[in-house]
Amino acid sequence: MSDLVYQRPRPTITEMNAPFWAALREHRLVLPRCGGCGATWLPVGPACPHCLGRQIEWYPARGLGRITSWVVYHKLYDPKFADALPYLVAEVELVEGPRLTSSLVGVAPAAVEAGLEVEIMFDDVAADLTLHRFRPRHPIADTCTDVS
Amino acid sequence: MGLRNRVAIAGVGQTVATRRPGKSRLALAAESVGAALADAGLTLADCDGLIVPGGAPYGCDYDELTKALGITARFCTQLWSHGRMTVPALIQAALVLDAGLANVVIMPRVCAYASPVDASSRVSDEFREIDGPHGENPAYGLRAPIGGAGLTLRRYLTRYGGNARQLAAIPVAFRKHASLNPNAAYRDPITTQDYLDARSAVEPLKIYDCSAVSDGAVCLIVTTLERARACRARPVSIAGFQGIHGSRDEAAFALPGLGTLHQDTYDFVPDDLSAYAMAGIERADIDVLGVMDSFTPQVLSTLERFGFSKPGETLDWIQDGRIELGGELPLNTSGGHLSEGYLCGMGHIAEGVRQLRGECGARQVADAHHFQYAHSAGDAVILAA
Repeated sequence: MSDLVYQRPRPTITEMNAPFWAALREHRLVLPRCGGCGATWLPVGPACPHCLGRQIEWYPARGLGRITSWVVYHKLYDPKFADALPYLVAEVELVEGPRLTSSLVGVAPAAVEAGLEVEIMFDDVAADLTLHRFRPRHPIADTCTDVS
Repeated sequence: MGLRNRVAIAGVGQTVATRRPGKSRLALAAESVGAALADAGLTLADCDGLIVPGGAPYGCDYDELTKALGITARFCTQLWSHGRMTVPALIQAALVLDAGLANVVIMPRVCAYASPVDASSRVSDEFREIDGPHGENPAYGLRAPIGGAGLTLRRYLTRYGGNARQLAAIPVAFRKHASLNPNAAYRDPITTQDYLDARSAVEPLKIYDCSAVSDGAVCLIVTTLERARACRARPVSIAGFQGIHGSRDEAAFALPGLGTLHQDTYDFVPDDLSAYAMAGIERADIDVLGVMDSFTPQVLSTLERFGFSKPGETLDWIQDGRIELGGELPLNTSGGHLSEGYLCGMGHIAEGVRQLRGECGARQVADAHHFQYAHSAGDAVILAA
């Protein structure tokens, strides 16, 4: 759903999480890893939440995970999402461990189950912004899928 | 025992919680402050501390309260503008009084959530760098506290099982209590079937799982127990308390270990019950319980956090009238946020004071000696008659 002018709220992008969003624009999902203790985590922060290390390495994630929780918005809390109602927001537990809050598409809300295996897709919503979204994983899919 | 029974709530003032928007926030403040002073038999000249649990945009800030109401204080402070700051504010009052920084603390909290707030007048904290205070993620449409509450409930139900019919026990009980509270915003009783037939707001939450958005205000007057004994109303002492817990395993509404947002997944065991020890009582001594109920899943989390029920077993535990008036553990006897109105937990505290004074009329719990207010973040206050 590319728009000339993207109307919905944009993520808060700072020097702290710029590599994460820059990679998405290249249709790659990267995660932070602590150069000190090796921990990996989300949401992206300025330091390792386990040892406060600030040597952060970005490594490629597989873009695969499973649904651990989800909600369906029936009531509108943001007028910019009026055309999307009802819409799904899900927590995706990535195979690397951390959880990502994202959109869940390609599945009816009533058909979602805990543990549903999903794969990432990249949505170029604006020239300078790509959002990650997730859809049920194709049985034989084994890698990140580029749908652009 | 620390500060056990050293300070007391000497006065309570509470406005009606109305669903109609348009109230002046300062007018609500004035009404609640006047009522609290009259209750205590004090005047503003007696008060020299001002602790505001939360202010703009839904309430009033300390500085506008001093100017508008003519409050003169030598210790003023204000906490985060979220409902979770009620216990920290009370703890701060106890510490300030004990330290001699003030002799009488006035604690007004305006909660004008029915009145519209001009979005352009503030920067929403949903847009913070990591996420919002309830896990909000605006880019994905996860807006408003209800989103985090819905994720918590879904995770709970998928991890432990349970269904909407069981969950209905909470809003049905609180509405029954509110039907006996003339100040409540919603007073018409509801049945389990009403709950099941209700529309979803953010699935799996139905409208009855959510706070009654309202305009209202509550003011407490806190002073030393000695001073409170000289006041007009019967003092209710602050017997014990414990603070908000913070860590990556804390997520608004969810018990640590549930495994939502950034939490790890593990089996929670109550790790801090120090408020009971401070008060010199056992959990079983609590006669009336107030629980922050911004959304029903928060009630599950809080009961489990303090060990009233075991993680994952609460939907069974709350059945058969256990949490209703006349039951084993009367819970939110004013109707709570779900039915009395969203008063940021201050309404729960006010109700605790009234219960321990024996002022609750048709909803009075017999022989109420200890009241606890508990919050899902692990903070609590125990009041004693």
